[in-house]
Amino acid sequence: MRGAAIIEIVLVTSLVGLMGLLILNWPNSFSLNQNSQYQTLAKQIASQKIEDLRLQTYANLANGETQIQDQRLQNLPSSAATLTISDCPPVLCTNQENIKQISIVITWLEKGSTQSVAFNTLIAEGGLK
Amino acid sequence: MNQTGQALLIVLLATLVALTIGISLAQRSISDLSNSAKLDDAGRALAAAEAGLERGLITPSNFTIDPSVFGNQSSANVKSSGLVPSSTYPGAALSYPPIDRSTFAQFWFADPASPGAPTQFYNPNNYSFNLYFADPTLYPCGAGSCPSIAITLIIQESGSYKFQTSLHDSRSISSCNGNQIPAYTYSIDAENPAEPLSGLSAKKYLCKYTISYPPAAIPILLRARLLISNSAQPIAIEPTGGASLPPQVTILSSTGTAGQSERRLRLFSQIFVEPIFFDYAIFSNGDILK
Repeated sequence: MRGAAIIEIVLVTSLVGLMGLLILNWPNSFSLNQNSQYQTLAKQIASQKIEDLRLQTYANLANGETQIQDQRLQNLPSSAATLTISDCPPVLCTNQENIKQISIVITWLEKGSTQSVAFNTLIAEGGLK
Repeated sequence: MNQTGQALLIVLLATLVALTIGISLAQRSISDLSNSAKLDDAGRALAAAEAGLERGLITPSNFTIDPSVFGNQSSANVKSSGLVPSSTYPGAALSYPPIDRSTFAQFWFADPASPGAPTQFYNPNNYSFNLYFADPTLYPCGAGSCPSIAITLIIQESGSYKFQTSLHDSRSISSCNGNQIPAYTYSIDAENPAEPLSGLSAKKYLCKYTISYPPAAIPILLRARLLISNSAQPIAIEPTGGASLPPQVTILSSTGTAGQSERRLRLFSQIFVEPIFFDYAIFSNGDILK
């Protein structure tokens, strides 16, 4: 039985090592899942804000930077959501058309580093609704 | 009894199970992260494509929004038909995107861009036009799947606006043989993104009817509404008698790109779409009295 005992010891050691590896990787896996959830949520908030802006009348789209208020931002740790409205860049709107550039940046803190989602689009007077 | 091999098997099986669970967990995490990244790219691509349409609606032309404009690695490529039908293709037909029973298709015969009351534009020598409708694959048409169409042609005759209404069924063998091809058609086809915008394509329809109106009349506007059909159906108008339809539609295609994602939007934008309930206010020569 001596040879069998050695094999068992080797296998048990390997199994313990493998389990250790899995346990060590678990937080990483958890972290990846959470990052994915945060990104999806941030994208949903940004997309909805753009849709809301399209439904507004063009005259209400005043240039400037404002903070987006959305209850779901509470689910993002240390989050900030900024909406910037500006005139269409001259390189694109050469005839000063009535078009606004919309920029939405949502940031949050994750494991000590700042993550972000940034959406940019245009909204024209009498455009998409 | 020799049990040495049994212990080895049990340990190997336990290892296999643990390994499978571990790999599936890791795989799920990587997959979630990958999907999340793709969603982010898709969102930015869609925002860029919408930006292209917004810009294209103001000035219908071909242009590109490069990544430097937005600074978030998203871009858009926009193609426009310009205002069509145009003089480039005289006599071209105009096809509406497929409509269902909840909405209607509208075609201008008068010039919608003329100031004040619409002025005559469509002026054929035979006082008629061709109406095409329905998916040609419905042929031969069964009783339950045959769409019918109701059209209302608004004409001006002897200083008065008149409504000429007619119904057209798709069970007519002579008019609905599924092989009706207008010579060339301005159209938008969501299922065929490669379809040219400014060029013309020959499209088949189930039915073709020739609609006539009084020689002294000026055709202003046509509305078509589907009846009976359970699915959306295409509708087109083809000029006849050497005439052309007035410019009235802009077809835009905007392709937004971000990372590995691409989103293509197509837009059929018609100038001056008048809801039905305004007809009696707009097409009335006298005052409206309450």
